[in-house]
Parts: sequence; C-alpha cells; structure tokens
Amino acid sequence: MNRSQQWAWHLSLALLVVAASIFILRGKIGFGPFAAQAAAPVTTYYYGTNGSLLVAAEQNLWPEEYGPYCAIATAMVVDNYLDLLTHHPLSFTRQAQQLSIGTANQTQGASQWGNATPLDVAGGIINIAPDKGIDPRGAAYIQHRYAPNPYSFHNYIYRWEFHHTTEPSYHQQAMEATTALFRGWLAHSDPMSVIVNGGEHSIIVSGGWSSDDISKVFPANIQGIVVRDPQFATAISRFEVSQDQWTNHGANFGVGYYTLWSRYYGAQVNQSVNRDDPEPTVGIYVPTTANPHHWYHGFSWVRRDDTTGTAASPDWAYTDDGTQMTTP
Amino acid sequence: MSHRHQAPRPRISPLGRFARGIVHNASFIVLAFAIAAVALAVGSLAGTAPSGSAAPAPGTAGWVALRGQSPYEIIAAAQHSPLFHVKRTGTGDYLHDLSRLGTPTLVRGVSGPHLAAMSDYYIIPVLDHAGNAVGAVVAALNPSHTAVQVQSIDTYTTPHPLGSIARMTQTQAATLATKHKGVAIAENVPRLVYFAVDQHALDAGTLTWTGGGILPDDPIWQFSSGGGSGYVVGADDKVMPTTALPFAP
Repeated sequence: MNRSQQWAWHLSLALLVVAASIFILRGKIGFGPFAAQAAAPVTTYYYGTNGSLLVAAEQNLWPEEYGPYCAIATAMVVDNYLDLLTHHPLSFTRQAQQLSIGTANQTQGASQWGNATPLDVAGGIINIAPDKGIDPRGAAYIQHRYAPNPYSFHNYIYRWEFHHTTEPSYHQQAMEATTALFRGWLAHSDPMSVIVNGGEHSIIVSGGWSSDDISKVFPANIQGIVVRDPQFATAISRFEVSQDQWTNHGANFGVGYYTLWSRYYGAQVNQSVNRDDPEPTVGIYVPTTANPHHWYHGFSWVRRDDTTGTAASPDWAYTDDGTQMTTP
Repeated sequence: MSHRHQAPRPRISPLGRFARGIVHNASFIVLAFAIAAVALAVGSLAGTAPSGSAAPAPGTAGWVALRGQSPYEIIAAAQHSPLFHVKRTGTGDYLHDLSRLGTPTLVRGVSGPHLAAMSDYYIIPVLDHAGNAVGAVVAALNPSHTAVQVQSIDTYTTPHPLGSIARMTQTQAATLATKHKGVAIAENVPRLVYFAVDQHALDAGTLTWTGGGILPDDPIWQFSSGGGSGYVVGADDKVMPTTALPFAP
C-alpha cells in the first residue's frame, strides 16, 4: 500500500465518522425525517380557553344582530367568560343587549382624543376611525367598559416592521402574527376578539394547537386555530380551522370574502383599499408621511393584559410584543 | 555474464485484472463513498428546518389525492389533515372525539350569476355515541374531484339527528317543494348545495338571511326543474327559485 492509498483510507475513515455522527445527531435532537417518522403524528400542545366555560359565556347572546355588531357580540362573550372565571354573575344574558351597547356607544366612551365622524349605529363615539362598525380601539373600549373588574384591554397590532428590516413573505407575516396572538394565552387563557376579513368582521379566537413552544419559536408551527363566529352561530358554533385556511385561503365561502387572516387589515379581496374600515382620523395614531400605517398592512386583535395606571387606558394600542405605541 | 532470471508473467484473465484494479483502488472508492455520505448528511441537515418552524409553502398545503370515491377512501384522505392529529384530550374548546365518522356527503357549490365556479365539498359527519352528527369535517374538492383539502372541522350548534348534515331531511324538503311548486318538482332527486352569499351585505346588516346554505356543512336542498336552475328549500322552510338566492354581486 503506497502513501496515497494510506492517506485515502485515513481520510475515508474520518469522513465516515463525521457522516455517521451527523445522522445520529439528527435522530437524537429531534428534527429531520428520522425523528418525524418516530414521532408521527406530531405532538401538539393546546393553547387557549376552557371549552365548557366558553359555551356558558356565549349562552343566549348569539347570533349577531343584523348590522355591524360583531365586535359587540364578541366583546360580550369575552366579558362573560371573565365573569365565570371570577365567579361574578354574567354581565350579559340576552342577544338584544348587543343593541343596547350599540345605543350606549352613541353617547359614552370617546377616546381622550375625541371621536371620528360620521358616527356608526354600533360604534357611535367610541371609534377613532370613521368605521362602518367598530374599530379596534372601540372594541378594546367595550371589553374594558363591561368587564367585571377593572381589567385592561388593548388593541394589539402586528406589522412586519416591528420585527424585520426587510419585508418577509405574507405567509410568514401571518404566521408571526398568529404566533403573537397565541402568546397572549401564556398570560391569560381568555377568548380573544380578533379582527378578520381585512377588517370587515370580528370573531372569537378561543384556542389553537402548536407543535412548538410558542414562547420560544417565532413563528411557531401552528396546526389549527379555533374560531367562534357570531354570524354563523345559528348553525355552526365552532370552526377548527387549518393553518393553511387561516393564512393562505380563508374559508371557501362568501366568495373569497371570508378570508380570515389571508389578507391584511384594510385590504379587500382584490387587494384594493377597504373603505369600510379606514385608518384613524383623530388622535395620535392618524397615519403620517413618516408613519403611513396604523392598522393597515398588519393584523389586529384585542386582548386582556396587566397594564396599570394611565397605560391601562383602552385608547392605547400596543405592538404584538407588548410595546405601547406612541405613533401610528 | 549472469542473467537475471525473469520468471514468465502469469497470464491474467480480464476478470482478474478488473478484480486487481478494484483491490488496488479500494481506498479511493471508499473515499468517494465517504465524501458522498458526508454530503448527504450535510445536505439533509440544510434542507430540514427544525420541526415547528417549517411552515408549509403558501397555497400548496393540505391537498391529498383521493384513491377513489368510496367513503373509506374519502375519509382516509381527509384524515391526513393535521387537525386529525392534534391533542383532543383535556378541557379545551374543540371536538373531543373524532373516532366516529359518518358517510361523506357531496355538497355542490352554486355560484352567482357573475362568479366563477365554487368548490364542491365532501362533508363528513362527526358522530356521537347515538349516531347524531355533532360536527362535520369540511373537505374541499379540487375541480376534478380527485383530491381533498380539509378546510376545517366544525361543531354544529345543535346536533343533527341520524348523522345528517342538512338541518332539513330530504323528505321534509320534498314535502315543502310539493306544497309550493308541485309534485313535478319534488319528484326530482334533489342535491345538497351551498351558495355564494353576499357576505358583505351580511356584515353590514343590509341583508337578512335565515335560510341556511351559506356554509357547505349547512347545506340546503336544491330541486332541478326542466331547463331552469331549479328551486331551493331553505332551512327556514321557504321555497324559492335558485336565482332568487342573495348571491354576492
């Protein structure tokens, strides 16, 4: 055996050891096809509400009244859920109370910056945008106003600029926003009122599954999102929606209108601007040249948090990672 | 003068020469194999994200080819959905038992006059111990009906008796059709449909609709009529021409 043959044998041995180590490592630390085969089906973890409590909280309140009452209908369920958690009598017991809240909104609940005009039959003066319904600030206000304790609720907003210097794919943005939404359940396992369909509609997102530790992985892999929709409550009480439908397609009914988080707040199905749900026209969140978007090109939801003092006011919007917003 | 004796070289067959070549170059052959093994290992690492951060490519996930149109084959395809493999124990807000599935039912999409064709669906009832449908697996079909994609797993607000997916039985619908439109219509074999509702008008409150048929797992019965688009029987017992449904503009 000459020297070159010896050299080849030694190098072969070293490389085979390296290759074997990599394959063994993949199996042990749990990623790659080997682990997937061993672990199929994927282990998932549920995040979210207690189903029985939520059914009790929703009792007799839905379906949604005819008109833009979705944000009110969802807020009533959120507050009733907190009643049940804290052993208070239910704040709401009748569907018609959706209309009562809409009436109250005409005269109570303006922001510290005033209200947008014209007024809407459901939103009244609680809106900071001339919304044909209730805007996210108004939704946070309702939940705060009727909660059994002085809990703080805020509009949380995901926009890609909060996390990246260059814009990632739409799908990644939607997955990051969904992960941020799920992270709300790490603090409070409450139902959350989520604005979908480009801003046109509000639903309850009550839970979901992830195969990841959502506190660490961003975006997490999410297998499903559990949704309750006041508009369809007569026939269907709950939708367990696949991730693909939630972020890529929306449900295939309503002719592409029911898109969930398959389009940004403020976008119509054809990607033109949604005039029903405009940006704020009063207050510090009115878009400027330097900050052209507040809700648009992002995703919005309302959740309970633990802020106190002046920061607890529902006027404030927060970024998805919990920073109080002082500009659009 | 001496002559170094040279023994005659043995004659080696071509096969023997080949074998000798193999032995002589074995070290290099093994080296090539080792390099390939490392490349394979490293390549598979690079192509495999940690489970959990690997999101499916937009628009491609979830379609599963149907091996046939039998109930077994439809259910088997639908069960590939991740929604069938999530944790369903505990107290969360979801259907806790998907072990009893009923016969898949085809529901046709009826688009409005200005719209492209809507997806058809297989709706698979989720049954309780008594055989009532407590929910439904909503599986969209591709245009050629060769693949399904589970869109959602829904829970009915009120369980449907006998595993049905429509709120009204075919017999009830036929009775209403007879009453309103005559026996000729009702004698046709109806089909279950959902339609492209004007969702924007629903959100705005400018449309009042209680007849069902908006969702594929809340379908209504459609009876054909000679040459026309037929009649539908709504969940609110109203019978109307299909063209009178509140379609999206």
